[in-house]
Amino acid sequence: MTVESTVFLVDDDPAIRDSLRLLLESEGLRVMDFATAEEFLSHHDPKLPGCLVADLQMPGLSGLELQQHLLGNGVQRPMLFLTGFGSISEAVQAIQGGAVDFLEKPVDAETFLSRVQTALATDRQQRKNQFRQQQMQQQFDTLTPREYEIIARVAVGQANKVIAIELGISERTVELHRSRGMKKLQLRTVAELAKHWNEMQT
Amino acid sequence: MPDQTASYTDPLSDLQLQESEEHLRAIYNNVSEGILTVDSRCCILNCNPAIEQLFGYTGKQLRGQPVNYLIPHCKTKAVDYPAAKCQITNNYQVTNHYQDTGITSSGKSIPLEITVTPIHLQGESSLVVFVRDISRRIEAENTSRLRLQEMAHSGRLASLGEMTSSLTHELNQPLTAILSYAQACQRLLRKGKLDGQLDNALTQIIEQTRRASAVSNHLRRFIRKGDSERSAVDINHVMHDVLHLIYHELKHHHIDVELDIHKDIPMVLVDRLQIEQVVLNLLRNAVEAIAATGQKRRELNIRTFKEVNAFVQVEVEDTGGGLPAGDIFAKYYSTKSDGMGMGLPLCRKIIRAHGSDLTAKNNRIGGATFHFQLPVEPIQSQSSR
Repeated sequence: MTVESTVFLVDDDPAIRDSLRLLLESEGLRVMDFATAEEFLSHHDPKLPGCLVADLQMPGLSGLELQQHLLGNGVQRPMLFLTGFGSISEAVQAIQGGAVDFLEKPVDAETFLSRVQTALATDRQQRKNQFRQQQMQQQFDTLTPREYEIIARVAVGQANKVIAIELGISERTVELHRSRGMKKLQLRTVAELAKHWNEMQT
Repeated sequence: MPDQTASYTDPLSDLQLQESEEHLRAIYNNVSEGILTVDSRCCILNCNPAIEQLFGYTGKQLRGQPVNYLIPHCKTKAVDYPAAKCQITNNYQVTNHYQDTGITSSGKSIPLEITVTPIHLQGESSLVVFVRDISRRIEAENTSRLRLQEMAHSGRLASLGEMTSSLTHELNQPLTAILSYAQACQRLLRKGKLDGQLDNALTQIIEQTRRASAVSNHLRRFIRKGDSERSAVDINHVMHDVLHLIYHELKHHHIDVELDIHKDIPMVLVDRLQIEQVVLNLLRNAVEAIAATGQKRRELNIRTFKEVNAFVQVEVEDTGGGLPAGDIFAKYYSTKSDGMGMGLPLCRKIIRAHGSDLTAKNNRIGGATFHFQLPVEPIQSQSSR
């Protein structure tokens, strides 16, 4: 059920939009372009896989403001910003804000396309992780409150003995809930559990 | 004053005559203006020491020489007097003032201001030619013109320096498009997939190349040092050229420009580069004023029209926050932290050098309007073009 990735292209200059679209299409990529950040946002579906390529200096909502807007709404979409000369400080801000990348105009095709591919790969990876996490979350939801309590303690490295003392139950009972919980989560080792637990906490 | 009137009508005694003669001769010999008397055949009758000093000849050498010997194009005939320049000083005398060039004994040219007045000497009509050396004045004028030119040039460089990022953007946009079109075509060609897209890509590449070269031409012209020459200029062309330079800034700040310009406006006689600079400065100030307010109405109105006098009026109206307190035309006035100021003192200097003034007022409905006038090119030189 994989949906094809899309490159969302936002630039106020029609010649830039048209030429970059041709370049992206020459690589076999699907492109949707927008003249302003506002137009992009009004059509944006965060569920569609893909990355964003936007000019930093746009009239209206600037590239940075667009980034703030997406991050504020919890949208993880990787972004590749195109900048003109002399906007280093803005580019730095973009990177600090979590942009995948930025490139100075005029961009070279090889560099541009490989950075776009990197952004798309990042998006795919993020979506995969997200999917796995969701699945894991669903499995965690099947745990009884007691199982959850004990699994949570195992995940951060507490020994059965310690858990038994702290909860005022026998070590045997802890062992029972623990093995039942691990079975529901389809996990075999504490290391696996710790990894998923950490992912879920972030 | 009956006494004085009596002394004029009374015949003068010899002693009185001698005193009067000495008095006049002392003036004649010591006045800084050169004085020549010229007979009806335009030959020099006499000259004062100032003439000798100025031209480097003795009076003896000059007597009998044609006046053209000193002033090659001297207008000494009645027909030489252009009606407009003549001034009837009394019923008989016509005085002609004009500027000319004299040649000294060493062959050096000197700029002169000349006044020619016909007189009657011993029944014969003659001329008195007053000659004033104006080299110092001309030199001072040249120096101040050069200084203004230098200031204008550094002002232009400063303006462009502040605009570097938006100007580079203006250049980079078409270059980015050109590069991307070309590389996309190359990739498609290598993959054997290039078919319908080539025509559009080539058309775009041509158009974008023109766009880039238009920007660079504007820049080159603007950065040029400028020879400070007045020429006949269509002020509306100036407006369009400057709008081209700040197109990006206008777009960036969502500012609507309304051009209310009269198509059949007469040509103005100006230093084009300097006027472009004034307009750029005013427009950039207006953009900054509008950008600073953050309000909804973001308009820049530019008007040009012919005034009843021999001037063309230019007005730049914005919907910004209005004029700040203080004398905005004062030398070190600035509302900006980088100290570049609004460039208004220089703008005013330029406009004043064109015989007008740059003024500003607040609009009734908010914002400010700057206006100045430029001299219309005289019809005479228009017809000779």
